[in-house]
Amino acid sequence: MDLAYLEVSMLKKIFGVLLIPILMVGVFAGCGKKHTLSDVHKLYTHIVDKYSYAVENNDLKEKDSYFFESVVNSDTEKETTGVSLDIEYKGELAEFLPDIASNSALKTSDPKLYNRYYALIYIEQKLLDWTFNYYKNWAPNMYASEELLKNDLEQEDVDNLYSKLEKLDEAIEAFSAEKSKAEDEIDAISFDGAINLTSFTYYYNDLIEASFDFVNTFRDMHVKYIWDTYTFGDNAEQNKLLLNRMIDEAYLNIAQIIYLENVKAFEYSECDLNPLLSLIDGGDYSQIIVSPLLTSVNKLANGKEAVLKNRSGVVDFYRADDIVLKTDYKYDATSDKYVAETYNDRLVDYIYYLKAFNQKVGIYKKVYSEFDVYEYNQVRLGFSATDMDTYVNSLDRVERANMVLLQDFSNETFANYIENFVKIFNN
Amino acid sequence: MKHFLRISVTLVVLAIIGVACYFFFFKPDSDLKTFNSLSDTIDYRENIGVDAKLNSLISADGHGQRKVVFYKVEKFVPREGSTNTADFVVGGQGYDYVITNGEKEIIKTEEIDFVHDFLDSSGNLVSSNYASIVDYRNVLFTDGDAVNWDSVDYISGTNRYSYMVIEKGLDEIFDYYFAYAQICDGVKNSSQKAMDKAIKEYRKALENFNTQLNNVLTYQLSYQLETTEAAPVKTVASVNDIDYMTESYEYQLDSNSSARTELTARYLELIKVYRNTLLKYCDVIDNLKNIVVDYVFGGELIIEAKTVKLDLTLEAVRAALKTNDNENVVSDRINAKLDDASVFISGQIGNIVELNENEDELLAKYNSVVGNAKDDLVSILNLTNAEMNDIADNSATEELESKYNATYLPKIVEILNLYGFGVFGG
Repeated sequence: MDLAYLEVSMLKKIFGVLLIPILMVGVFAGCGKKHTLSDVHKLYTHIVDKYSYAVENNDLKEKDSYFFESVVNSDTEKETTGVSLDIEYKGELAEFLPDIASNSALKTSDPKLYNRYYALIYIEQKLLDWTFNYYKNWAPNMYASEELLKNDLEQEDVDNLYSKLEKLDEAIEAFSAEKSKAEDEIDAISFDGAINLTSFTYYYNDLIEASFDFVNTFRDMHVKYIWDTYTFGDNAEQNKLLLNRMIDEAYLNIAQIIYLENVKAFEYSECDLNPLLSLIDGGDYSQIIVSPLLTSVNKLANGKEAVLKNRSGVVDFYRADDIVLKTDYKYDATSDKYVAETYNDRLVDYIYYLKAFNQKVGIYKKVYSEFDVYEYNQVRLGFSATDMDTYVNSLDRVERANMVLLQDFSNETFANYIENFVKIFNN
Repeated sequence: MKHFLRISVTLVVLAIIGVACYFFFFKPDSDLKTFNSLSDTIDYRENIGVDAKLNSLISADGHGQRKVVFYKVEKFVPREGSTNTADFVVGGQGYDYVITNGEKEIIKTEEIDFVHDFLDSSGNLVSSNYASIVDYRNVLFTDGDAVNWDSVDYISGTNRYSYMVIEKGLDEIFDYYFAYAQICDGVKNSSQKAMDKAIKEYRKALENFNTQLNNVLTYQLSYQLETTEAAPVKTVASVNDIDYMTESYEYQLDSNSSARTELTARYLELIKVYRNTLLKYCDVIDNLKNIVVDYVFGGELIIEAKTVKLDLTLEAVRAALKTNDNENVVSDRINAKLDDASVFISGQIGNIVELNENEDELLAKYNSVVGNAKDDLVSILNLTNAEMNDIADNSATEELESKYNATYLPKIVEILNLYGFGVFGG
């Protein structure tokens, strides 16, 4: 028996056995197609086209779904396409919803029904507005910089962004189907509380989360590759741009936490009943659910025009023009002196609390996913027969720790963050 | 040979796959060593029951309080053999009292416990001899926020906090950082060792505390039995010649000074042991906080109002517990130091804030903010008064200045920003 031959033969077999998985790993690792920022832009444009309706000379051109509004200028015939997810409805539902905030007939006849749709359509749409606001304002800046960034962009980042956008597309598709079902059902049996919106809200939440995912990823890249090194300085125009970016980012950040605290917390996907709706039906919804939500967003109102405007086209986002930076001195005729505006101090405070927010938000989201937020909120808001002391005593050590972390972020860090964002705009 | 090679290769491949699977699927995201060791400590404290025993001690009698008993008098019986019409007997005992409404007989007694802390019937402190135990008990566990010592001559000073209240404050700090301990990642052995050492000393201190609690409780209860078995010293505090006669019972402290001395000594020892326990608790919390800051927040926790407040409590408690003064806590020295710190920072304002035309306005704003927020100037407690003076006078040594710039100045800037003062750079 030739042992040497046997050993070589054995080694060849071993190598052959091991080679296959190694090759497979190599293939999978390098398998995905590489994307560019232009690809991302093209995909986004494609999605917008897929779900847009167009308005030409004030006539609505109907399509199957209505998401991104595009407007054709009747003089130039040039079409401007919106880029924000803007859910529109068809049929009988559409008749009642355009301005649900002032639909007094609905409010009077069935306040619970009004509250249901108010929560789902108005508040959740607002969350989408605040999310896509960032993308709408800064996508051109990002895409225009592609050439400059081509040597710096990491492929993994771009592919990740593309992948998030694909998931957003899928989420829109799934939501669109559910929306159509709900609209058809309402058309069939008329507009009343008997409609089951469980599936609709489940897919709406999915859509919101896919939106957060995509815009967050976009924001992270935007900051990493373009804005990370910018600081406030003597260049007034740059200061204004920097500030506007920070403001838009704040809306994005706040939208996500408001969603997690007030909307997602009540999702119960395995159950037939959507607890958010059952809470609305069961109690004084506006006091318990809407109020804390609106308190958060209304803090941004500041005595100026409210951020929560209806969606009839009024600008509802603050811009840097609303803030005076330290480099601006105003002449005070009375004292014959140049007086510095004090908003700069508050801006510094905001930057500080943004750091605190960024430091803890990752922990908050991780803990949130591991904790039974639904049960906690039931107890917290008084919907459960269990009182808070009993509930806390029923938790094991890890659960109690998780609850403390959630409360710390929510009651301290996020509260400070919103408060100091609001202060920037105080006159 | 062939089989051996085959088996060996198979085992190696399986091992590689197993390790890969472990790291991919099963490796925990966070390190629970610290969390678990602290959980065990919490369990230990609950199991030995020091908190429950403290509560027993609060409600236990026999520490020298005066009990006044009211008897409802229905009939006075003339003392046998006495010709003094004013000489009557109650229950076989002789008392002098004045009768104005004819014969009355005690047919029923209603004891109404009316407890005074070492006060006589006129409300005066009976004797400073009794004061120590009351004093010590208040140091240990008076509920609420503060003990007001102003009415007590022999211990001067402003409001104080009892150890029990302090412990509740420390619990709050512990709970806050403990929550973060469960998401620590990659705690180094050296850090965990320091934590383990602090825990070990704390547990030992708890054990001593438990022992001394037992010493006080058992002695106090036996002392109480002693006094109730013997005839109480009765003095007629006052006679209500219409319906009631009062009798005042004292536990035999006046006549049993050795028992009183022994009980006083045991209370004092309990205070020392409790203080030591709290100091060790501070060390545990300190280590916990360091681990959380390093292994959750990468070495830099952005402080907010809450964490500043917690930090202050820890620093102030630790400083106060270490004082060699009498057993009072949150001493005047700490309060004085905070005042100094406030003045110091106010003096530094010109060096660290970009001032404009409205310097006076800014300073005024600062003073009002800091005046309200001085409790949060925790980090400044680390500077001595002399050091603060040197820095203010620009006569600090190079070493002190370097220390100030590296450690305290950033903290001052942070705190000023925290209160909306607005500091660029710093």
